[in-house]
Amino acid sequence: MQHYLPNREKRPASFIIVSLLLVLVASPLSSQITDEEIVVPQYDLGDQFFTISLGPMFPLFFQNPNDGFFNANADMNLRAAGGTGSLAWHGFLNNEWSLGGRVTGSFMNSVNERTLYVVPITFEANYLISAFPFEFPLSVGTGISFTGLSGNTYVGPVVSLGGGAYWRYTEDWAFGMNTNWFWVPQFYTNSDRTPPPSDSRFGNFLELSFGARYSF
Amino acid sequence: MIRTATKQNMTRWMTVAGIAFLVGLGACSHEVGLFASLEQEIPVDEERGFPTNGSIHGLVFHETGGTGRYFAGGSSLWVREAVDASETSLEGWTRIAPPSSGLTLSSMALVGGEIFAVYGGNVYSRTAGDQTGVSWGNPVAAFDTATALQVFAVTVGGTDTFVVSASVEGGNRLLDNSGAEISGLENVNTIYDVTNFGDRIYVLTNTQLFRGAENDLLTGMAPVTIAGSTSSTFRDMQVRGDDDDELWIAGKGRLYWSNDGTNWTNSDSITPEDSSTEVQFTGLGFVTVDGTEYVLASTQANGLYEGNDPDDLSSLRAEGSERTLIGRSGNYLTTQIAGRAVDRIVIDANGSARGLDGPLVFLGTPGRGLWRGQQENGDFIWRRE
Repeated sequence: MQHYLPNREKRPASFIIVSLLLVLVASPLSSQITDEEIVVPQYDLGDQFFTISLGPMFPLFFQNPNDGFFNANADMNLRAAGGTGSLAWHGFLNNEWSLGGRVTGSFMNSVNERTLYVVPITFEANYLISAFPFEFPLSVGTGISFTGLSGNTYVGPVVSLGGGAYWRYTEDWAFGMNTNWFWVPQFYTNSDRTPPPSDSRFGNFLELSFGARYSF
Repeated sequence: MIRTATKQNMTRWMTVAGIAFLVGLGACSHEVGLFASLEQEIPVDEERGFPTNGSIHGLVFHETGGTGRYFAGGSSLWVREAVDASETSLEGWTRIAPPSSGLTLSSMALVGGEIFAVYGGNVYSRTAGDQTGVSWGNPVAAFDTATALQVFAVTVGGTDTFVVSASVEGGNRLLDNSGAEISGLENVNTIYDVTNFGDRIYVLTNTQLFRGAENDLLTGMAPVTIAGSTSSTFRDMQVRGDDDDELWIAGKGRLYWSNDGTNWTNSDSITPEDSSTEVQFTGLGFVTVDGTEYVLASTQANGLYEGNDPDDLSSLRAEGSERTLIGRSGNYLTTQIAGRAVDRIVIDANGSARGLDGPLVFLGTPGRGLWRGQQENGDFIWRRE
């Protein structure tokens, strides 16, 4: 990764200067500021970053494949929001693309205070749009999700789509927000040990979280 | 070559382990789809002013002058009028203050229109014919030694009376209402129940059943052998039938019943699907719904079991599909008690007095309050008081 930010010991002054630069970047005056050289960040193969995120998880709706896949049922009997947290690691392939994994843990309470746990473990592909000092990661992921309710567990697939906006605070650290849509299917087949196929549902949940990212 | 083979074995092993892991978890059996279960959920808390996180160990009904009252015992004693069960304005519970502030209720029983209760090792009494306007008075003198553990209502020779289990000289004893020791029960294990069956008094400890002489409480108490109960941990004893047809006992992994107190039959050993340990039954109840008699058995950690033929306990099955009171047709499987601990089952068979065609079933739970089940529009619906 190219070094592109000023020395960390000069952060307060640098922060002001960078902020001013942001404001003035489109101004004719910006051409007069020449004492700090800003280099557009570049990532190379082998660069990596960790992300930790915390925030609310919103239940959106269920889909019932037996009753019209696109008939969304927003009456999920879950409280308006639960909580979520995630840990992710990504490795860059080039300046835009990175691959990695994410473990997300989330919970939501029902109207009867039953707690629904959704824990997706996803493999992610990440595309980064840079507009220094801001970065906008877009991600698509798939993997398995552990879903728990009232002591029962279901393990099934999960698909996620996400986006975020991060501000590069230092060369190593960036802070921002994420939003991730989780599509969590629960398929049931004709088996004595499982619920009937009519109980199949696809859950849709939206994460909105604050994130901290460490690059190395 | 060796390294390649090792790597292939490793990959194969990890693949198999991964698949086994997923299959193992995915195979966790449950009766309702998790998301579908949420869709079916209805709010169950009735906001009657009763502690929803309370541990309820006792519930009795008292009818007098056309007024019915429920008395529920947790750490405190609570009372509410038993009104129309389809009430639009919910009848609230009222906490009955203890004899002295700071005392905790440990046991209660209804004896001939009086509530007897154990607070701080002493036995107190008050009328059951009043909501809250009566004080407890002084402790019952015969037990004024702070050693009482539990109080039980029992009928002896046609007279309603009570007995008290107490810790005396380092052991558990059973005392009659005058404080006299009942012989044959010196230093027994924890006493869980006392009842009259066939005019003889039966005393259930967690390891042994005792039986007294006919219509005699004080003498002749002797152990009764229950076949197949060598490792039993007994918890509850109930009489089934209007004519005291059978005596039932809830044990570990099995239910036992007898129609004479001497010859006993037991259910097959019952182990939950996801466990290798026998289920610990904690309570029993018999309830008739739409002309069919069901046996309900509560457990220490596995919810309820239901059988639709008390004479054939091969029908006894855990909560789930094709059950009437604890199945998919009602809301039981979407409640906080499904698959959890239930301590007590108490049936209010006088549903007609509450505006119902069938009975009301109450469940006392450890830490999840008092639950009431009743038939509504053909389904059995459970709500938390």
